[in-house]
Amino acid sequence: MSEFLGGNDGWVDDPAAVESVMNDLPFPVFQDVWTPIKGTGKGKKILLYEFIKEASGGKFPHRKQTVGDCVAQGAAYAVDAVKSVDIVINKEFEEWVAETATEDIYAGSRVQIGKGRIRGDGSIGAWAARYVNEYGALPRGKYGNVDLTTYSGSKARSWGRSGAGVPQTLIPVAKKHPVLTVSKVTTYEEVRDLISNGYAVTIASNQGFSSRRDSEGFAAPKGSWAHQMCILGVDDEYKRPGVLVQNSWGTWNGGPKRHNQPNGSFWVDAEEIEKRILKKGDSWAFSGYEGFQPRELNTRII
Amino acid sequence: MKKAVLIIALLVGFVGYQQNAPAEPQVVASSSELDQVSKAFSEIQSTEDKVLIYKLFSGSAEYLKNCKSLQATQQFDPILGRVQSSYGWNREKYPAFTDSVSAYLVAAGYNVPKPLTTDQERLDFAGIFEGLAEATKYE
Repeated sequence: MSEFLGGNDGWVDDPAAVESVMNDLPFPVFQDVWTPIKGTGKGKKILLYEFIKEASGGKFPHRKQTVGDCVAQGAAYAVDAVKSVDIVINKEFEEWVAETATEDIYAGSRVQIGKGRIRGDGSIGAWAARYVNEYGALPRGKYGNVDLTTYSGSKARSWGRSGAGVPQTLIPVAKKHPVLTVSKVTTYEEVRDLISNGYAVTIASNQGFSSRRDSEGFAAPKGSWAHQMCILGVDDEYKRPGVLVQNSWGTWNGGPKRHNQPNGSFWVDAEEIEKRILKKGDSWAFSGYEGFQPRELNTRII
Repeated sequence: MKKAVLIIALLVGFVGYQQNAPAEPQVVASSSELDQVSKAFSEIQSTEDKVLIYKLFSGSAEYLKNCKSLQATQQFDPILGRVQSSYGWNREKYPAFTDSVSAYLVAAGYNVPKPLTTDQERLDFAGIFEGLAEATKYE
């Protein structure tokens, strides 16, 4: 197993661990279930971040990780996207509540799923996918004596230590809110069709990108990051097909934008995303979130 | 854009009710909670406010009976709030009246969010406001 060497990212490249997770999933490879939607995203533009903005009342999460928990940050964005699709597109009787917490996903992926095998920071995309599928994901808030209201990198790191893990009191609550399906994706066409059908895709690789977007909002591949992020949009109708990648480093990059894209994001060319990231084999599509029914309504209406 | 259309539709409903409002107060309440609403309403001195309250409730009932764009009951309160703001109405202006309406709404189950996906669900929800309109009929 490779070991995370430090920095502000935290993805661990471990094909054997990915393979192990896939053995336990009903649809481990998206290609297995692709046929019904194959080609449906061709020529389309779908911006999942706009659904997040709408579902959240304009409170798009601007994540800025402080430890090597990018795997959870990328997975949490994907959960935010699928729950927004459930609310805005599928009209499910659910409410946004808050952005998805990351500390539990990080710790759960490392400890509950990964059994504490990673030393130092970092986790594996497949472990996070498996965790949100089996144990669920929670919006930020207070759960008994566990306070997940505000992001805490140190809490993520503490819970993520071998032998620690997600607090036992939190697990029954989280298990009521799983991501219903997770499947590995490996091509741009799969991603395009998935995003067009309301899935979200979290991606991981060693590929870095320029901090300067070009005149069309794209960032060129540059450098090396052991990092997980999330795809929150696809534009296959544009002369330059590509995906919108959302990072979790706050406003770390600059340059021109397209389609009112969020701060910290950048477009990546279709062939680059496939060749440099998806083919690494640890990128995951999420769909369906068992969300939260709205709480009591205010009756002091006059 | 969709919200703006909803607010306009609701305002049109209010205007329609303003034109057809009865000449004298007519209180029709079938429960003790509605009796309390009527009682608190009768203690409001401002004629202008009484007319507006009636318009808000009756317009809400009419709007909810016909509006198919709402998917769940919790989507209505923000719309009502914006209409109230457009009239310069501040909630809790008459605390005793607000208390009585709140007690009625709890008794009617308004506080529990529900889907609005069928005609019957929309009629049931509109009925809550029809009760309030009946209890506050005024011109």
